Amino acid sequence: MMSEVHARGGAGGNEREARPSREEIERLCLAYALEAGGCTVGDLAERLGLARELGTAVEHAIAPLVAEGHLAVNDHGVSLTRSGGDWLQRRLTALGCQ
Amino acid sequence: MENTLAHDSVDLAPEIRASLGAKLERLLHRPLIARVVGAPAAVSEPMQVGTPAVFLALASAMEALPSPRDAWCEDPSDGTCRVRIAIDYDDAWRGYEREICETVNNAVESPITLLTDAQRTLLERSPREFLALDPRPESVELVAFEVERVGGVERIVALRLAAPPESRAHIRHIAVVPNLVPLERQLDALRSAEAATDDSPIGPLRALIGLAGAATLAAAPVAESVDVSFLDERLDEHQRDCVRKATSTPHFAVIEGPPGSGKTTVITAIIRRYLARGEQVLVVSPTHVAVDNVVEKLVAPPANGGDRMELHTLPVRFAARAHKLSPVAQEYWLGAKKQRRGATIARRVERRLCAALPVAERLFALEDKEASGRAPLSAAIAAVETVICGTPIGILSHEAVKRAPAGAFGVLIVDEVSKMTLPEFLAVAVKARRWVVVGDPAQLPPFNNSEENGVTLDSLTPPVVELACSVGALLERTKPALRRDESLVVAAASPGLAAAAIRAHLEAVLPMDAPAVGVYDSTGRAAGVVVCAREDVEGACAAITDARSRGVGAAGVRVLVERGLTVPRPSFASGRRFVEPKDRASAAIFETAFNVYHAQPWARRSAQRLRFLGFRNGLQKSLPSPAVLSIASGGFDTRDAADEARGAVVDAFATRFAVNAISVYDWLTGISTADFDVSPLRELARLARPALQEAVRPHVGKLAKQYRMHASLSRVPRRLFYFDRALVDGRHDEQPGCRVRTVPVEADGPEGESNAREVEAIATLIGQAMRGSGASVPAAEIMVITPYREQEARLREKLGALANVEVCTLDRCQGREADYVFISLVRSRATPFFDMPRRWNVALTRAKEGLFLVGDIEAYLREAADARRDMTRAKPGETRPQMSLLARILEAYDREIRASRMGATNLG
Repeated sequence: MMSEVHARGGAGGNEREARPSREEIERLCLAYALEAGGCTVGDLAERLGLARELGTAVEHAIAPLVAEGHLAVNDHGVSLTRSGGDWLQRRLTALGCQ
Repeated sequence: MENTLAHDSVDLAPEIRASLGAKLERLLHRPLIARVVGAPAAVSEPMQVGTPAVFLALASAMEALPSPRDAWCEDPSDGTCRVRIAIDYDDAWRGYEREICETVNNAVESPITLLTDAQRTLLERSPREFLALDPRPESVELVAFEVERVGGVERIVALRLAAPPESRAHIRHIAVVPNLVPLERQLDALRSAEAATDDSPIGPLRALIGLAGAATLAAAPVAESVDVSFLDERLDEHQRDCVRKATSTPHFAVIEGPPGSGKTTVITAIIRRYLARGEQVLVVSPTHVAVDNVVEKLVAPPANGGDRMELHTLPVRFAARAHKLSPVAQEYWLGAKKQRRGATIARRVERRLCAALPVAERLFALEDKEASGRAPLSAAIAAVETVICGTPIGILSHEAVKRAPAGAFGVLIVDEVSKMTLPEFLAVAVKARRWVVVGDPAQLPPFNNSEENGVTLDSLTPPVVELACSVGALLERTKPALRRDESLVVAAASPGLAAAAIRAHLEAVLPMDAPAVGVYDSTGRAAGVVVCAREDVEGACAAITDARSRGVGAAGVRVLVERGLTVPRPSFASGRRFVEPKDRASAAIFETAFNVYHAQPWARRSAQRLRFLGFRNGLQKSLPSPAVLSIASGGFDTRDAADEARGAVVDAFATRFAVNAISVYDWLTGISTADFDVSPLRELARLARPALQEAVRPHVGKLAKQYRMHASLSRVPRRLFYFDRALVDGRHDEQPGCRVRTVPVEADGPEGESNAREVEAIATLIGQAMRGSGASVPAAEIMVITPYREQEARLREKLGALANVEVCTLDRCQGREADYVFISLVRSRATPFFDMPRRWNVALTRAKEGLFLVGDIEAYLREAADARRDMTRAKPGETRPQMSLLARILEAYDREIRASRMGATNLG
């Protein structure tokens, strides 16, 4: 159960001991790619090493993070929210990846 | 052009519907059902209070018997399951062992049906009701079968299934219920085309099958062009032209590509352009190899070393099972219940993230591989299905395609289109709104099952006409000297009428050597055609047998039954046998017409006479004569009326033949009717579609250069099969010399469909090459091609341990290539099967670096020399030698080899 909670990026449990699931890694990467600043989904796809044409797929991929408040979408594109930034830093630190 | 606006073609929809309906009826005629050995007769019922003690004891004893589970023997190594079966060979299937083996063999790699007792009863009582069952009975793929030899014949005793059944406690029987899905999907597509309007996205398809005029094509919207300058592609001028035509067509585009001309390269270039336009793409081919080639090309890293994940690199390779696919294609495999593509995409996403984000590599190093969850980026990318690849019928099982409305996909690309008939193409074509068909009319034609296609003619003539024609067809295949001694019992609903019809037909088609025809009257006619009622078959056979035992007559007794009549099987002790469907007139028409259709144009262009083309004259004996039609219809007033009726029937035969045996390529580019001098091929002229072909012509492209073969390997095929108009060498070979070798192996004993000496010779050559040469040969790909499955099995047995050696038949090697190819000829004399130019063109163009022709070379060279010599005694004006195709081919290679040696000597 603990790994599932962590996989969803929520609080609780001993984060330092938990190893990240692939699900959490991809979520962290999506957030990490936006740490330098917001951008369009096409640009985000390129930041992730993907073709711009995969922007729609990236848009689907960020939907859960947007729903949880880690990312925000507006007319200019997508950006990391304050809470998203906190979550990203906390998890990267806990995992020793900062 | 006023006339192009008119409805300018024959409506083929009723012909397609009638053909598919006839094929469905045939498949439903007699399902093969086997009992599962080891399954109890019925599930035991709970005992009631007061049940006698003996029943309780029996119930207890039954518990100790092998449980149903024991009938199914699972193999943990591969998940397959073996089950012993029993077929009732003593009753309904007596004497049909070979037919059963063929039926089961044809079902390998297809689903077979598992039945409860009740389901079996329904299947036997009413196959149509059975097919309507919802939910469907459980089915599982047949992987293999085992036979035992009993009394000189092979009987099937066990099956190996892809997986054990889910409800095995209830399964009592296994049925090889014919796979109706392909035919039903073709019918579905026909309905879609009929329901659509001319201005709908599939309007051009309506024109193709004659539901609309060619003007529909002019109304199709023109495709928009896109900037694709970002694509890093190296295409020659022909390839660029083909890509341009395929991406600019408003309806159909046709790309003709000889072997090794870069068809797959062109297909991938077309796919990228349609994707750049934001359109979804379907890619199909009748063979898995061709589909896999496209997938491999799509996902291959570009030459410049870049490796972004792009839409075209994420194909779906849809197939029922992964095992038939190439290793690369398996990575993108998606089945109905399982898949590997998701994991492949997740790995690729990981690589991209690691390359793009410094933190990703550290995160993936920490990954908990056991954790479950839905990786959002991988899942979202895996959901992108912009390029879906598969076989034409198989791909329709994929939900995204099955549910798609007509015209949903931007383009359908069909590879190896010369192998597809109109109904087969239509089944998947209705899902798209543009169609790019790629193929080579000089390679393999559609598969022709003459028996299956023959039934499509049934509805065109009354049974008595078909009966008379079948007598004609049988006698055509009997040596003229023996025809009068033929002993044929014909069972008919109206023996008098049938006898008159047969007599009239034989007088028309075999006036010189027709046997006597009479109605059975228990006088014991010894030879000839004896027509009787269904209940008199046994008596008629016995009378003939008795007479024969008295020394009158010579041949065995064959029994021909009128269509739709059921007759009890006669005893087989005296050599009596039913005439099989493949020997009836309708199958004979398809068999001969198909061979002539695909060989005669080549024979004319290459100025060579093929002996087997003489068989085409026998077609008239299978076609209804005016006389038999007159009797069947109660008489015509004039001879002209009879001729007219005959003309109408032959026209109808020609249309059914065309629908079931002519490729989509020919429908779009033109049927070469000028080459044919016999009915029903001459009548194909009525089906010419000049307006349709005129509309398609601007979008027909040809690939002229080949990049596969060493220059010395392409010369003979270029001259013989492309008449120097294609297959031009596109690469410069640094090392000259001839890369073709003939390996003489003398014939040994009577000729069959295997040749042990050739197997030994090939094994020795490959073994020596691997041991004695440099490092390149052991790693090279080697292909061994042979005409017959029996020889293929022997070669596999001998060479199976070598990982880099592939063995396949002439008819299965299309789409493949190898560094070195060995061709095992098996026979020293060509059969009609050998005289098909398209077959040999495919086989001779698979090799990249070396070709070895193994067989009785001298016999063929002698045949060629004799034919050339005979030309000196030929009739005035006759300039074409008569020899087998293989003799001509070997003669050409022999000259090539000799010229090369002389060149080397001169140089030396």
